[in-house]
Amino acid sequence: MTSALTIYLVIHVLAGLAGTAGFYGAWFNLLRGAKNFRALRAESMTGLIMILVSWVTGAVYYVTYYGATVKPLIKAGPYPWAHAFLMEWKEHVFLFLPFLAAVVTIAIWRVSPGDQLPDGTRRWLGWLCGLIVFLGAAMALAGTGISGAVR
Amino acid sequence: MSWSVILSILHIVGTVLGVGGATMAELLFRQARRDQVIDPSEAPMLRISYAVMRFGMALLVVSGFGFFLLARLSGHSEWLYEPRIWVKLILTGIILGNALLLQVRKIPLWLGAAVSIVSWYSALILGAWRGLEWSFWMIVTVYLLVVIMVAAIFRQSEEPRMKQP
Repeated sequence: MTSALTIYLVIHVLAGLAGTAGFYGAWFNLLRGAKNFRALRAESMTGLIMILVSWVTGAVYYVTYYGATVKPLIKAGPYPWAHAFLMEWKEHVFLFLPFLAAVVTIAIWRVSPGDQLPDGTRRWLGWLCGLIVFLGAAMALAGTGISGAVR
Repeated sequence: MSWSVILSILHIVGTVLGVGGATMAELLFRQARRDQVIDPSEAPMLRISYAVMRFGMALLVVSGFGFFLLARLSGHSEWLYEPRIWVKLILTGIILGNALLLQVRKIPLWLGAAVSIVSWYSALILGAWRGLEWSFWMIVTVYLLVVIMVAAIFRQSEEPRMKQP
């Protein structure tokens, strides 16, 4: 693997964690009543930017290296399901997650800082943040499982 | 200094802050609740304990995934399939989920406190016990039994106060 791809992989993982952490913070904030609206905006925007960074770096790694080098190793190794199931699942969520993160962030940023988030909106945004955190954590676990299958 | 040493230092500091923060938060909270009221002088200490615990968790997660990357990049991927690593990952999720449930009061305090303390100490023990050869389910079973035991103790210790007029 080239140095550039190594850096992309490291950024992909760390940015993914930071993105999930951003939306975990936003979820926590929403559950507390979204009283700190500035923090909520910062958390959601940080989460979105980090998820996008993870998306781009992961895509470069996947397209230029994973398919040609890593995938055959996993398929020939003792855990071929790590590609057949985990990576296939991860690919689909990977396409969907940034859009979900963008929807939540745009919804939060459209509310003026002085205004109060209606309870119903706050509850639904909380559920969406929870979904992003759950999917982000599941993707981190799937990534660990895929990496462990490279023998 | 190698990446392995840097990550080890971060992981140890994260564990110390996380386990220490969880222990102090629990002790301070129990002390504060003796008179049923958390007064203004006690609140800042609790907030500091929770902040230390959160910082410890952030360090643990970052350094933990740093170790995963190092294993993958140095060709030691087999380490990622060790049962204690997966239990530690699940414990991280439990600690974060428990914090949210406590925040929205969807879990009784005695149970949330037991889950938090036992999870933090379990992660510490699993990290330190390198030669542990138990299966995933064996570790999970022992963890659940300890949670039940500690929860029962915490529940029992809350009851006399709950009956006070």
